[in-house]
Amino acid sequence: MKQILSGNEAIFRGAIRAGATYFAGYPISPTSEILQQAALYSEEESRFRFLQAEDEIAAAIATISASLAGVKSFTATSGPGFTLMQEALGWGHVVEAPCVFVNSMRVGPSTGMPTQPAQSDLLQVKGGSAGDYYPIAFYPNSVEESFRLTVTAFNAAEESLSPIILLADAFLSHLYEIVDLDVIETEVIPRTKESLGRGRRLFTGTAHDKSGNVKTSDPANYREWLRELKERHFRVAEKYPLYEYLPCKNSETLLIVFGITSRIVSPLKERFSVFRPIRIYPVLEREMKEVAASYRHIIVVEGNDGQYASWTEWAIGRKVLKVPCLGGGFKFQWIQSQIEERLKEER
Amino acid sequence: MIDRSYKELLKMRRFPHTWCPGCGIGAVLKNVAMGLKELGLDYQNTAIVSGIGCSGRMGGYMNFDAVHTPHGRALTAAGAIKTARPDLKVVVLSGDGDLGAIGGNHLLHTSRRNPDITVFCNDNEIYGLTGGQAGPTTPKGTKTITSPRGEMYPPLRLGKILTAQTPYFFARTTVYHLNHFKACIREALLYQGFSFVDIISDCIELNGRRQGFKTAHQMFKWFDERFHVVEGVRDHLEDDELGIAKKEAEVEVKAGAKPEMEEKPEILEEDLKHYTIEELSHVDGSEGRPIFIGYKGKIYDLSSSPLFQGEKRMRCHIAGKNLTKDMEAAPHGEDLVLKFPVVGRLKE
Amino acid sequence: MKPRINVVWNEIYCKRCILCVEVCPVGVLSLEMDEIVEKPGCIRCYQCERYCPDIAIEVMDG
Repeated sequence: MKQILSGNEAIFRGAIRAGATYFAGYPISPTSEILQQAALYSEEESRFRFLQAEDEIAAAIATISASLAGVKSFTATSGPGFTLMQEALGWGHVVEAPCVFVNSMRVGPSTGMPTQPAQSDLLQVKGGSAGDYYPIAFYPNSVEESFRLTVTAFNAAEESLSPIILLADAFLSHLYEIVDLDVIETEVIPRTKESLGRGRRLFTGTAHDKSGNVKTSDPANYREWLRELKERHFRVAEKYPLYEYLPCKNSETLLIVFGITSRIVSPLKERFSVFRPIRIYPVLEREMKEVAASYRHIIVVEGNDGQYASWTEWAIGRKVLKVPCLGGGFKFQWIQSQIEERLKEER
Repeated sequence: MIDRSYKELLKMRRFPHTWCPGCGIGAVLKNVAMGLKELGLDYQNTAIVSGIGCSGRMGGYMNFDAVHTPHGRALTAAGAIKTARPDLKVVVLSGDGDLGAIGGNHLLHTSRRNPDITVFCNDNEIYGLTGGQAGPTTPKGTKTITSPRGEMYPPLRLGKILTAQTPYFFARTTVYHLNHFKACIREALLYQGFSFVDIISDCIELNGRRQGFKTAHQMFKWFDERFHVVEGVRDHLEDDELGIAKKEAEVEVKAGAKPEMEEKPEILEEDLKHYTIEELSHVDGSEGRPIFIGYKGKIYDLSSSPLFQGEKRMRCHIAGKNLTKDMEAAPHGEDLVLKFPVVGRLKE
Repeated sequence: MKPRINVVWNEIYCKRCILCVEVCPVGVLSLEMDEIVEKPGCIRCYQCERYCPDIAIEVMDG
């Protein structure tokens, strides 16, 4: 059945398709609709549990704890809430709890401009919590893709045994498009991790050995554990090398755009080649390098001050041109003139 | 003779445990294990949740699946685990700093939601693991390394906070009053709802010595001077009382509303229509018919119940049936049914 | 595990907090040369075992 759906609704339906039965959240624009949907859904489906927590810290901890208890769980928030969730994200990686964190980005830092869209939480995705960990993050650009990627995120969570981050932005969350969810086929990976009440394990955020014994002064044990975690996460990330590449004949310039910015610059695909990373982190290093090799100029257009541009520079090992839209208004004309200006400077 | 089977619930191969000599947490660990064993709780029906700090390490010594949360988040985690897995008994082992300071917000809101979890708070009135800083429950005037001239502020009164809103179960005990301590553990584990046991415990190395105590036992004597046991179940506990405060949820009475019983017209039993089980099964709310159920030989009209939604069902009960047996298994009492009008008698 | 007259003392678990020595109502336990030792006179009240936070002392059955 064709229906008109917002990005937020598609994310929620995607989670249900993936088998999620627990949602915890705290009201924040622009993801409050997901919280509302969860509340309504829990009324009609008794298997689905929902918690409106006292803050995002509690929401994130509840999401991870429910996952340890054996159900597929998720939460949704925006920038400031995501900041509060960082503690739980770090913990989720150490206790190896599969779940999904949705972060619909708005202008920051702090409260910023509620609710103007931005894409400025990328660094927070990568390393907002203490210590080394290797998160996996996806970023759709349409309502239909939001649905698909939510299922993908749940699958990647089950495989990597970690909280997967699904990015969106205030535009995408409130974007309405016509979709037919019934015809979208998805593969769902079931839960394999043993739930609580089955053994005598310790799920701890402290460094530990395989059976969960706390090892606070054993660097060799810690290194071995981290190496395994890293390997597993990168192996799962490799399984999802998601991107979209639209080559344009005779173009010497490659635009790198993602999320809502890719929709805004879409009229330019007649003039420039466009590369849209969907897996935002780990960075699509090899893929980006291959594609970038045949272009003279690489321009990253993004809703922040060059966060992804710096990752691109690191990944392809050469200079990239930046069009930092920051947050708030994204104007096509402004972006176009900025691209022209950057190219003029280069000539 | 003493029953030592509680040791099965502890990871004895990891002993001696990590805490200082004379520390009260060892006593909490041991007595909670005894309480769990007594009630037949084991790793298949129970999950342990702990926080951070010395007391947070208790989970690692329990022969259960244990979740060691970030600092202060034990209650949130426990609530979520109980929601996701109602079949598990969830026990929280943590301390006063974890539950009262960094987890204070979660304490307020978890107790408000009243999940069926049991919390054992090792209240040693100090931050022990980090070296003896003043904590949320440190008595005013106590000298610690962060209050060298004596703690300036009055302590957080967990007992007052947790008994402000019904329903509640709050017990205060100490590691010295062993029999009382064990009784509190048992009562808390048996209570259906959010039960909190504030266990006054000793931190001899990092709190006691600075205050002039030489051994744990001297601190125990000091507990005995400061607190006294009160018998029976109370409504509230004073700050110097050890005991159990318990109160059921208050039923809201609308102002001006008459008690329902008076409004019910007297119905003579002979006048009531007789229904067979077969006839009853048709009056199940489908196709606009009213919703009748049978209970103890009588037929009740539940059409006005907000819990009967849609067709034939109300959560786990089915309309148009004799529900006498269901009542025994239900978590609610028969008063839920008796308040509805009687419309007939059930023909056997 | 070191058996005494009426109690068994586990020297590995024990942290020498001497709680058992102090709670003993007849004062038969003491810490000597870093070891818990027992004098005759135990009334088998189990206080030492009940209070020991380290599960390091047990009264022998029988």
